[in-house]
Amino acid sequence: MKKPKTVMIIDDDERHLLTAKGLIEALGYIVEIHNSPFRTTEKVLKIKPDMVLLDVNMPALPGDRLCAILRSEPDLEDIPIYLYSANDEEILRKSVKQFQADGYICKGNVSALRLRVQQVLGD
Amino acid sequence: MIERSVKDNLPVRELITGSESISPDTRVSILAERFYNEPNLDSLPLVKNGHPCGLASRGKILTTLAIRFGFALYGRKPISVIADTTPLVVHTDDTLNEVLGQAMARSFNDIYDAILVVDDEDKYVGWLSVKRLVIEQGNFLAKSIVQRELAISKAVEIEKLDKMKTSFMAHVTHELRSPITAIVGFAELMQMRFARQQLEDFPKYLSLLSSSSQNLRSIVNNILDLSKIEAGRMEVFNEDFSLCELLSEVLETCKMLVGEKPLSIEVDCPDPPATLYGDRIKIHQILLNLASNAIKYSDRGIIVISAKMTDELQLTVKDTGIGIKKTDLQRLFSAFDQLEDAKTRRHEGTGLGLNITKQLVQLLGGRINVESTFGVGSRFDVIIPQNIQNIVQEAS
Ligand SMILES: Nc1ncnc2c1ncn2[C@@H]1O[C@H](COP(=O)(O)OP(=O)(O)OP(=O)(O)O)[C@@H](O)[C@H]1O
Ligand SMILES: [Mg+2]
Repeated sequence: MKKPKTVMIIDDDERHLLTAKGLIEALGYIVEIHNSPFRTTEKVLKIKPDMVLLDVNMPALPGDRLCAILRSEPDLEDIPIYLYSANDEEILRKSVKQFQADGYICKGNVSALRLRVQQVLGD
Repeated sequence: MIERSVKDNLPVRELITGSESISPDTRVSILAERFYNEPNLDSLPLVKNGHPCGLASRGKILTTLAIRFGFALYGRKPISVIADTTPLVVHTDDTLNEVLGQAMARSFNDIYDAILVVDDEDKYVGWLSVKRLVIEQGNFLAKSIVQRELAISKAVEIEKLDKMKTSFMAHVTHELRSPITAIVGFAELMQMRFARQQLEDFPKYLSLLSSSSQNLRSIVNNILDLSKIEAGRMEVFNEDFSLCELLSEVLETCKMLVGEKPLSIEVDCPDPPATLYGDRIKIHQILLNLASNAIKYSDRGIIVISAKMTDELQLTVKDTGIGIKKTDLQRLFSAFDQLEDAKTRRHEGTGLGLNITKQLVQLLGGRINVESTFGVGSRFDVIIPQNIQNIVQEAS
């Protein structure tokens, strides 16, 4: 059997980490979590996840800008990064373009979360 | 025909910005989608059988949707349910000055809305942008530079307000969705785990579910309160009550809000205990708003809540928290405004608490004052003219 793929979630809000982790694990993937925008690059480089979910509203460093920072790492150029946020979609759409994310997932839309993760990772 | 020499009496038919319209039966969800996708689209007139019957404006539709958890309730309804059914309608021959006069006489929230133009048979011809009319008028009044600047600055002012409301919208959207999201997530997760009888994490999930719901409740309450105040529908209801009981109720709630933080709360009640005649619910809300800020914006130390009765009721909430910069003091009480940048905030909230508090205090005929040292702590004083209100109330 091949090793299951890994999703990494970065969010400062424990509630969202817990729910997203539970929901994605149930699909059979491994989930790593990180609860602050800081040291994210190191952690992502170390874990080498197959997909990253990035909260936007976080203290000190918003996730969309963090996304651009991750992108500037040569090793992370191709990793699928999705903004995972409760923000207005209109704003998310703009952030996706501006900060080179692969897309966004609206928090609270459980089926979109499942669908998108499966779409990106395959089963 | 109107004489072209009388330039500021230009008929508005020459100033029409657009002639698009939609049917009042259009679904809210379809229109909302359009507003999302077309950032420059500000409003759409509703027209039935050639006659105008309403106006759907971006700000109001999107706000209504946000405030009332929109799509679930309104998504499938026809737009006429939440559109403005009494937009300003003018005749093609009406002049720029007349029309602007009518527009400016409307309530502040409506001033900016598009104006609909009809012909002799009351058939819809097109719509006017107030922003454009104001600038146009400024141009026509070019002889008087002062007047022109006045007109333009008014347009800029209106634009600024609009921007602020838009960013407020985005902000409130996030604040509302964040707890809803958590609630949906935990419910789903628990359902899944329950099916497999994996119950070990349930106590934790339930406590987070409960705190998310309370968080949501207070945000919704704030938004509803503000709408009520803005609509002028907040009424004063006076009754006899014990000040000390009120303070101990506030204390109980505060203890819950403190949670694990190393914060102590002191309540200072007047001696002998006073019975007060006033709006208990509003005074409670004022105190709680100030106290919850004190708790939210303090990491440690002491919070003192005190009440004093002279011929006025004097309430004070003092904290040893993060404090407020001098330059920020002015912005403190405006709605839609928070001192921290929305995307990097450390604290949750809608930024409405103090605005509501101030409006409540004013409603009770009182005033509010703040002193603060950045990094040291803050002190909010509320003064409500107790006796005067008594007399006024008993006389009526
Ligand atoms: N006691 C305080 N100490 C330091 N800063 C404060 C204090 N009270 C208010 N502030 C600042 O003023 C801003 C406005 O306060 P307000 O109560 O209106 O909004 P909020 O607390 O952010 O949200 P909410 O609508 O949930 O009350 C806050 O965001 C905070 O930056
Ligand atoms: Mg507050």
